[in-house]
Amino acid sequence: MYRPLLVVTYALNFAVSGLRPFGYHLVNILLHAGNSALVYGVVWQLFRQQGLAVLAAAAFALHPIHTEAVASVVGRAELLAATFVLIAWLLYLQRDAGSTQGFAQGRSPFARPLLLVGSIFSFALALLSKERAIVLPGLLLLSDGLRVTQRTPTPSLAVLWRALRRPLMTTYPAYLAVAGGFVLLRSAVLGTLTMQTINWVLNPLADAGYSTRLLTAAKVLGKYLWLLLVPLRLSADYSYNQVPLATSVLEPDVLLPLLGAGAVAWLLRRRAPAVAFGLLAFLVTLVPVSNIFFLIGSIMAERQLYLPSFGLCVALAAVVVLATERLATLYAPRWVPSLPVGAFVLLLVFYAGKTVDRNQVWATDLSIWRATTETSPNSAKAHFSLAWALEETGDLEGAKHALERALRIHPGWFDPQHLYGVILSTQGRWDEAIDAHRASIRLNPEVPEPYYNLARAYEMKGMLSEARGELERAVAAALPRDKTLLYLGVGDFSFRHGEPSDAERWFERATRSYPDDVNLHLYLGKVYWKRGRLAEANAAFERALQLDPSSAKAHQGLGLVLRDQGREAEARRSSSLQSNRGGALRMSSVKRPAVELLHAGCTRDSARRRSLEDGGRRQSDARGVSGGRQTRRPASLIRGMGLAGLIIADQPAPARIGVVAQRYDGEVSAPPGRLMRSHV
Amino acid sequence: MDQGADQAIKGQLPDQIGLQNCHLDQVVMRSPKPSSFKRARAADPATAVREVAAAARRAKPELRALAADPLASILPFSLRVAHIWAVAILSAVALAVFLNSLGNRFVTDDRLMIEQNPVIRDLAILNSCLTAPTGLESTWMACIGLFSLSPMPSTSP
Repeated sequence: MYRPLLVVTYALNFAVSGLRPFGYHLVNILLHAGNSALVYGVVWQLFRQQGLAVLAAAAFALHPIHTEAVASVVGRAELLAATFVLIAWLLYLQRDAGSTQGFAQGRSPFARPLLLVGSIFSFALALLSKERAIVLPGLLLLSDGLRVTQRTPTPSLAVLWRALRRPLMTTYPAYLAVAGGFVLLRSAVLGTLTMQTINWVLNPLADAGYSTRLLTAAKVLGKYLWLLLVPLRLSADYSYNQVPLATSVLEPDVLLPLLGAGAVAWLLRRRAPAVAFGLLAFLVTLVPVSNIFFLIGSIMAERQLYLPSFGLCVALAAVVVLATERLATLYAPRWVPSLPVGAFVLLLVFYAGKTVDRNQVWATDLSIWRATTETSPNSAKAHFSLAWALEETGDLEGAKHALERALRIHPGWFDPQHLYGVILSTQGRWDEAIDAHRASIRLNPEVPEPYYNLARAYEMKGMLSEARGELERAVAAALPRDKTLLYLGVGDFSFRHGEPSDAERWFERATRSYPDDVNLHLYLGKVYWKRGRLAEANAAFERALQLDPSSAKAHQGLGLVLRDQGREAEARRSSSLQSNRGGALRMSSVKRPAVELLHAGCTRDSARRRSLEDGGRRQSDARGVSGGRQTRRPASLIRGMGLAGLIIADQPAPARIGVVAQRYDGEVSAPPGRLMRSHV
Repeated sequence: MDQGADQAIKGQLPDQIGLQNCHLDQVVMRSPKPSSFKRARAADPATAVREVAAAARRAKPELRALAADPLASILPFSLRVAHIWAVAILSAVALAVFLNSLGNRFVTDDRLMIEQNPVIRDLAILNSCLTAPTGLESTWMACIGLFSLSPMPSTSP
């Protein structure tokens, strides 16, 4: 992903409020409020009708379709891009404004160039927020065309060309240059122009032919239009198989909505150009995410409508203004012309109520996916995600039911099948778990986790030779970067089943792969010590201490080895070092989350969140103790403690805890002897 | 309102200022001296017409737009003040309807992009954000989101 400005705002949020969601949500809401004001400004500059501007901006401010963009923190990409697109557009319009109030007119000879520079700069910021801001030149062209039609209601092509020739030759190239520069920069940084991998479940168009893509894109555009007009059944997910692919142009929901919208735009192009403009703006802003020209990560998503909804809000408001004008010409009671406005206000009240209600849906993963499985019952991902959320709360039976529904929709999907097996293992239903893990392996034999979990199930049933075979298959299936985890797993298996020499071999392989991982040296030291190879154990713990001098575990291990070597004085010194404050902090930062997970009985979700926050705080404490010295082990290990912390917590693991493996930036930490839940 | 005077004004105004469909109320509202206009209208409709026409000529571009805006007449302010009020009210309304989302947790991809994203935890990103990938390719709560940063190789049909 390349959205530098977006990530900078997240970093600023983190610097201010850490991982507390409040600050992140506050920024999103403020951005939306600002965008509503900007919509007012842009519509005013376009049409010079205050009523139209107020109604359009009010619809934009209140529309429930925006909940996904505003109430989820990641939706900020849409908000931020829209902010800078609207600012750029407003400055561009202000530059050409004919108003006596315009900043550009008669105040300074530099005003117009300054406004243009400001607009282009804002465009650049929009692109750095999200790439879809690239639609701005299209919007500028549309608004310039609107200006022409406002002066000449039915302009000929020659008139249009004369009017647009100058901006096309002078100002547009500047915007296009910025867009081109951004595309080059993005490609250089990411090494690719488009998304590298498209998840077929999230976007079933990934494998479709171009005609199917086109027809389905038309169908999705129709659905978007309908959702904006009648936002009754909103959903957080439309992935497979909620939007079946369209195969024929004769399907009613393929062309009817678009033809209808096109007919309305054509019929009202003279009488209400704002309606036609709004519908065109909707289409222009939706094109980049329509899957027509290139594929994006999802077939349909409500957050994609944040900027396009501008056009529909303008069109709706324009219809109201038009109706009010028409009624005003009738010989009717004075209140009659107010009827359209009154009806629109009622619609806005409905929008507001729906938005407030919808915000609650976005409160937790569980509430989102419960609601989504009702509004998108054919989405395999919605059921799968509900299963994750239920499993987090400990509702394993509910999770299994949700997974069964996901697998009914998409029987060939590995991930729900895999989770199904993990849950069965967690419940200790080893026979069923073995069947489920085998089914997972059939669906995707290239993923190591099912082999590993199958081995675990065999081990629990006492079938040790089968377990070892599956472990070795897991090692063979793993990608090179993931093998280290499995070396640890196999080594731990061997260690627990009385084969320390074999364990030593696997741990040595793991250590060779990641010679700078403290935890691997700790494992190795432990197995050397157990085997009585005190010199090697001493070296392993010394190496661990070189890598992390504050590691209490390393001090403890070294103390034990030195004691066994008869070097009592040094052992006492090492033991005393173990209790130093930095080591204790370090130790507790590692062990506490693990202990929480293992023994406190809290849900994985809460334990993980607490440990993430705890890890960050403790890391700061540890830095303070060590005088600001940066240890070689980056903070990510500590921060990821909710999962990775289990690595050196060598308490026995209850089966329900399951997995644990977390990698940050190539670091490896593994939890021997436990289930593997996701791809490592 | 004096219907006779209004009809006279409506009849003459478009010719005087070159605007069609101009709403009398809007013109009066935006006249610099609405009270003097009322006095003039009460005394002499012709004076009122001149008063309104003079005001209308001064604000002609503005009125051209307002002519087709039947809703503008409900706003009892000058245009600049009306803009300020409109922006303030719209922003407040937008804030108000989303206020109850402030207590929401991190959900779906938030976990991947915020909770598990080491990139955002150091303001040093300000130095490198333009020249380095700034996060993880979001798959909208793909299965990997919650528990691993590794790409998900499966999910083909």
